[in-house]
Amino acid sequence: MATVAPPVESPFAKVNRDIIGALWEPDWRYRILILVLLAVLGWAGFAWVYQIKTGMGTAGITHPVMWGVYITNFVFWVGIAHSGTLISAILYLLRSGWRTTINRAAEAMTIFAVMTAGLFPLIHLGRVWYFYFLAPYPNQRMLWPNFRSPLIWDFFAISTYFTISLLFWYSGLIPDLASVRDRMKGLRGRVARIKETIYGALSLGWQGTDSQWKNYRRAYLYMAAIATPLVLSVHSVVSWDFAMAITPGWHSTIFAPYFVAGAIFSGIAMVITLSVPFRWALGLEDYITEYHYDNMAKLLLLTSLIVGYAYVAEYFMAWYSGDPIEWESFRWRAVGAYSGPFFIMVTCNVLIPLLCFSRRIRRNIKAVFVISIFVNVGMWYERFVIIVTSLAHEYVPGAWGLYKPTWVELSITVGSFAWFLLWFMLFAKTLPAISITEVKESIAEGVWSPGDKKEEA
Amino acid sequence: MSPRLSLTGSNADEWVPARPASAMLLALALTRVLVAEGRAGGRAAVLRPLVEPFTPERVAEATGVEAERIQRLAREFADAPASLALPPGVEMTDRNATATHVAVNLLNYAAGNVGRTVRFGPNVVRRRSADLARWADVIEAMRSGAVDMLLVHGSDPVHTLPPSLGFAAALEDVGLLVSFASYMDETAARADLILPDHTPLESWGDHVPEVGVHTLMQPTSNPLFDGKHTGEVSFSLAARIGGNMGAQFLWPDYRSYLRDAWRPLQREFASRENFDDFWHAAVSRGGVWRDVGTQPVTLNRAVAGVEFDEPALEGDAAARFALIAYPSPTLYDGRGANRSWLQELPDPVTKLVWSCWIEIHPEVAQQLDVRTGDVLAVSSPQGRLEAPAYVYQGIRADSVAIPMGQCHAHYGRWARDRGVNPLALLPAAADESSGSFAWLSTRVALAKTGQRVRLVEVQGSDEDRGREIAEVMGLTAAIEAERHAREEIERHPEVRVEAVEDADPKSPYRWGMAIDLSSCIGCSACVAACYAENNVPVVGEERCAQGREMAWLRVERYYEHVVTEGSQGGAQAEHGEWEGLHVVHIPMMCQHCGNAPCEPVCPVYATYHNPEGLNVQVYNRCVGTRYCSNNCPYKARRFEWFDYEYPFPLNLQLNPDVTVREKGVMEKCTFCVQRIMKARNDANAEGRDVADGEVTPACAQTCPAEAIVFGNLRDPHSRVSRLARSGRAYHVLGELNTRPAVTYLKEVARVTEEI
Repeated sequence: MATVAPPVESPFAKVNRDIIGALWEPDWRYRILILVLLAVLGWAGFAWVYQIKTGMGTAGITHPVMWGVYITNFVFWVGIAHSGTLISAILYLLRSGWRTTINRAAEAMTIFAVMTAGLFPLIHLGRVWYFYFLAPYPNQRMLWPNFRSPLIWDFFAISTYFTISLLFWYSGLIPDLASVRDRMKGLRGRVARIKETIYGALSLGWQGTDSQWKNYRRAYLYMAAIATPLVLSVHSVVSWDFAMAITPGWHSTIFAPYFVAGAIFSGIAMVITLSVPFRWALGLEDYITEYHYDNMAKLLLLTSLIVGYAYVAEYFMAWYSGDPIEWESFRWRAVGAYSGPFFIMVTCNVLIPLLCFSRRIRRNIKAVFVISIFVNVGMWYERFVIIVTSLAHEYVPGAWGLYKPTWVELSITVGSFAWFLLWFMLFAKTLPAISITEVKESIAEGVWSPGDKKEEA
Repeated sequence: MSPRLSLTGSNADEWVPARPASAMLLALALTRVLVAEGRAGGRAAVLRPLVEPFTPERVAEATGVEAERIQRLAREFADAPASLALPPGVEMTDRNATATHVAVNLLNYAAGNVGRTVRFGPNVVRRRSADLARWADVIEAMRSGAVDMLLVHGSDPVHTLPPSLGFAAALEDVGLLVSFASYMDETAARADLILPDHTPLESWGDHVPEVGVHTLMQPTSNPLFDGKHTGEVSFSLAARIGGNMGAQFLWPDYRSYLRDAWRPLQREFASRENFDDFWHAAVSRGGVWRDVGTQPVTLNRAVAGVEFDEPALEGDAAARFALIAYPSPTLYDGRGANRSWLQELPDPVTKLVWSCWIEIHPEVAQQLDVRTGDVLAVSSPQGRLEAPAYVYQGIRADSVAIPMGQCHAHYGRWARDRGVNPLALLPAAADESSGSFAWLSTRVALAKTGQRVRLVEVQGSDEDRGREIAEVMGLTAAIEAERHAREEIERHPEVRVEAVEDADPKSPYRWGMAIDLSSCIGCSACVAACYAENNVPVVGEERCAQGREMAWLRVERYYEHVVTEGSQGGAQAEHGEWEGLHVVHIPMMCQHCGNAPCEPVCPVYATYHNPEGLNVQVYNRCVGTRYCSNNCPYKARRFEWFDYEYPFPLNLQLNPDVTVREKGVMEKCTFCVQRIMKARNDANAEGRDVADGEVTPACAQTCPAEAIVFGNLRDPHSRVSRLARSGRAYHVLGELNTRPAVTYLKEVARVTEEI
């Protein structure tokens, strides 16, 4: 990509002012919200400590449903983590200019979602105080983890994804961090000096020279290329936690693509859900516009159709296999004790997103926001349905049973949202939430500019 | 033939849901058919006048069994190579109990069973228990103030006598009530003085179950509490009285007394031995015994005088349901109710734990608009009680059944305040000939109360839905398959089953198990044994309701609707409404799969395959991901949801050879690996391999039917290897290629297909 000289009458100054301006001192509403989140998080922390001290029995999981809301949350948050890399890396490689305003927030969301997801395998462990048994560390007994176990694959898939996402996010931030550093130079006061030092250190001596830009663009491109396969691999591996098991309802080759599509679906939904209040709170309406929501809604629709197809395909294969146990598992999923969650799942994930076929709805931010909330709920229930209904109704009918979450599980679930939002709130006030560099590039290339209501790129 | 499908009935090939109190008529009608069709041989002449009035057509109405069915059953009974008719059990004892026994004996006599399957002799010890009239006398004496002191030992009459007799009320007029109960039972709670006896585990004792068999019991532990053997109480009382009385009871303790009491036995059994040697041998062997022959018997002419009146049940027109009060298979008459192991042991028929219920037919449930768990008010002229309904397809629509054993106001923390006692509904009715209590004597009325309680059922679904979990095969097919398998074993005795591949080739062992479903009666003693051996915690009603019972071994009970095989008598079986109901019991535990689904998914190798083919769980390594349980198709794994407590004195029952697990780890059946290790160590010390039969897991040891056989599959001559090659052998969910080490043998039943 050629470096473009800034036009004489450019809106670049406005970009700097608007985006960096969001970083100034937070108002009281922000502080109250932070306090509320901390309180919720504290309650969830208490619930976890209580669970560790008393035993896993404080959660509702039981025989035969040994995995419940915790694993549902784990898969849910890993799914949320997907859109970040998709929007950043894949859309970058595909030269989709509309990504520029949302990629930073989406990447941040990825990082925080992985951080949230990573907690759940720990919360779920019967003896969390031995969590390090899962890591391959040298020890005198020559004991290694079992590399045949999908849970170990998970461990590596998620830590790889986290590392790459963090590096990719950070590399995208470098020129912007330098902009913030430069902005801090113009300010007086001790705090500004400390900030300047921190942002300066983080920007790794960025000067914006031609050779820096040349190497930076190249590195960013490679990083995008490395991150892209991870979008597919992480959720494939997560899906193998289920697909590799012989449990009817889990044991299916469709799971990897099905889960990846579902992850992108839920990830996009979460980007929409978060960005709407976020653009309003930070006054960034000019940067994230109907145009972006239109595009995101299209992606939402596409992945919703894939997910819907997967639901149908699952049922078809269960029926076509002629395996009565498989078929009974799927039949019961729809009409058994968990038919409520099943219909929430189908309604929210397949039926409601069909509204996005309408261009009017796609370009109505409020409508897209509401749809995205339904999708978030629906995708949470999708994981719940897959995990719980399959386990509740397995091979031996005499061992069938039901599961109902307890206050401990619900507290920790709510706490996970607080944990995620807390990080996101901190991010919004400490780092440029929109990529300054890329927005400027878009303006220069004429792809898109702030306040532009242009419909097609 | 009974109105309720009991545990015994659930093992039957055919259940004939006969009207309550109709066993006598059925036995007479069956005899009548044998006599009329000339199948009774020379015995017909004497029987004919007795049974002439009882034509199948006539009793069909009173018994609820069609005449054709009675005829078919009679023919099958006569044609069978060996047959035996047994009178109904305790709960079916009605006012005609003696006449019913006579009728059943006549049936056996008619079929020529006397001397073949029925033998009389001095081998039955008549331990005469007091009949109802005797109790009535005692209670009358108590009420009149004639009883100054009442000693109660080894029974709990306040709980086990029907309240209508008035025993509890009469206690008011007794001067001094002394109880020797080891536990605070209902009678002890009323006592003025409690002198707690040692429990059987702390006592010396002996017992004569039949003539020629003398058993000895020695204590397994020191007395835990400040109790005293009742025998020793007598000795010290005598000493206090002094004089002549004191001189007769000079033993220092009960053991010395018992030893002296056995001196006459030495003269009978080993007169030339020194008494000390005899005594030590008897103690170490558990007793002495010898065979006692049977006596030939003839039909007593007095039988002509027996009156075979048609039975009647008490109760007015509103009371439509015959009340069957049956002793609980786990708690019996209530004496087991203070054992948490027994409270948590699922009832073999209903699979309910920690509770009490009233069994009603689905049609009745529909009429009353109740589901399982809805509380019903049950009333008879004697009383009224409320119990939750259990909708059971194994009971007639004109009967209801309530188990005995619960409803204790005392008797310890596990027994207290649970369930109802059906005795409260029973009149003090007796069988006229013998004077013993008539259990089946009244009708009750049911009414819905609108309340609902939770009944804790540990089994998920009652039907195996064609998944071939508990398999059944027809007799002809089984005979053919077994013959073929036997020939195969004779031809190739060295062939070993596939499962031997799943162990280290250098190991001499691949442990395996065979479970014969034809032998398994579903009694669940194996489950209790497993709890005892493996320190399996009792979790209580609340946690059982959440599905958190810890049983490593469970007995699943499935109802199957089957088409019965054509009868040998030639007549085709009818497919009545419940005729096709067949019950299969299947013990289910870790199958120690050769290709175990639990093993690859554990991220930390906490579960792995050991060189002897066992699927081993390493508690110390387990972090509790619970993935193994999700991937276990048999759902044999249990998770420690909490740290379970063993409040004193339950801690004393812990097996020191087995780890007590901490919260957060997974566990499951180990094939009693501690016993395997002991046997292997013993064998290694002697430089040999473990022999067949040397290792017996707790479940196999306890099984009264020897349905469970354990051993080494690497040894082609071991019992388990031969059973694993049986023509009836199959693996549960074998299609999953789990390669289980547990081989099940299909139940042989008269079915041709499942519906």
